[in-house]
Amino acid sequence: MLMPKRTKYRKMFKGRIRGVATRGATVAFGDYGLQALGSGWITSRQLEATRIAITRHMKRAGQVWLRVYPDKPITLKPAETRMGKGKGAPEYWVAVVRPGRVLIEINGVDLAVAKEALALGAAKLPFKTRVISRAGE
Amino acid sequence: MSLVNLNIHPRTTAGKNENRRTRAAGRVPAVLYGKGRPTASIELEGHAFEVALKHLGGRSAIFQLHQAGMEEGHIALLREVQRHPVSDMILHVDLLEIPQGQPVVVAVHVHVSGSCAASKTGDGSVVVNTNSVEISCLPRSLPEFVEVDVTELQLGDKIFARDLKIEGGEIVSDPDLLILSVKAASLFVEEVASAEAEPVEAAAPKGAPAQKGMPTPKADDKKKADDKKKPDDKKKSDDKKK
Repeated sequence: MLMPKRTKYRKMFKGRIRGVATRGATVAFGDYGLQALGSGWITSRQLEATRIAITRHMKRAGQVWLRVYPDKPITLKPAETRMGKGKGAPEYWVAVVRPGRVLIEINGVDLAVAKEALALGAAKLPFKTRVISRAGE
Repeated sequence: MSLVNLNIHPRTTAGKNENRRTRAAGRVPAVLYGKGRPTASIELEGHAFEVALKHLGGRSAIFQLHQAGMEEGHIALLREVQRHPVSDMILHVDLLEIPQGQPVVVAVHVHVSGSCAASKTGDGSVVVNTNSVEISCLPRSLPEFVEVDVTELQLGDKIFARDLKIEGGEIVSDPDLLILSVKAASLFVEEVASAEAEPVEAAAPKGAPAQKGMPTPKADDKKKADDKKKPDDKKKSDDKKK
């Protein structure tokens, strides 16, 4: 699964997700893209499941670009642990997503295949999405 | 390409709040500029512009501008359309006024048509490297898009900017600019096969660490963590003794 090779700090603040995506909100590499309509965290597992669903449906045609990267570590405290004694251990990685962000792009397939593949991928994600195509076409 | 009529109105107001009111009233804030003319703040009729953008030539359309008090015959090209990332509402438009009888340099989209033999058999796929090329031509002969037919292409074939043919114009982009190529699909075969065998682990990127969970922290971080723990442990042991 996707995760950074090395990080400057092991743990990160939770943060808040406000506003909409002002960057990475248009299709830049492929012909079609999956755009987030909600905000939230995408775990590296969800992202990998999305990618596998899309590539399997597209079979041997086309290309896939992941436009988000899970670079935020999320910590959890062990079960049955009393509060306090410091922050928990890092458990998994997420990508922070704001509405409008293009998550995945594909090309090399026709519109029908692209829509079906992206819909299969979207089912793995924790918020609503829509399929968009390259601007100007 | 035919001209698309567009009514424009002068805009005296500026700023975030005034533009918000303009959009709420169904109009779109815009700016009109060009060589030898002062830049003017204008506003467009929102619905008419949206229709023109969708059905009447899209982004490479040429607009015939109509304004009360302005002489006829001004034409303009779309330079930029800013949209809201979620609602897709048009926020602002840039229009570039162009001279009638002189050639203009415009980026035109490349459309891929047909399917090559390699993609039909599944041995390869068409990889588009560049989605637009710059061409120089008279405004009247500006094509909506440049079409590239890939039906005759074989595996490994490439199309460069110099291979494109445009009626009434010429390519300004670098002649050696790669437009598209037909590449073998071997990469995709491996990916699918490995993904089916081991859905999660096999799909991990090459550079990622082999371990399943989190990467181990850096040695420095470990040392720091140990150092922090030590004083606490000492205190606890002291307390127990007491």
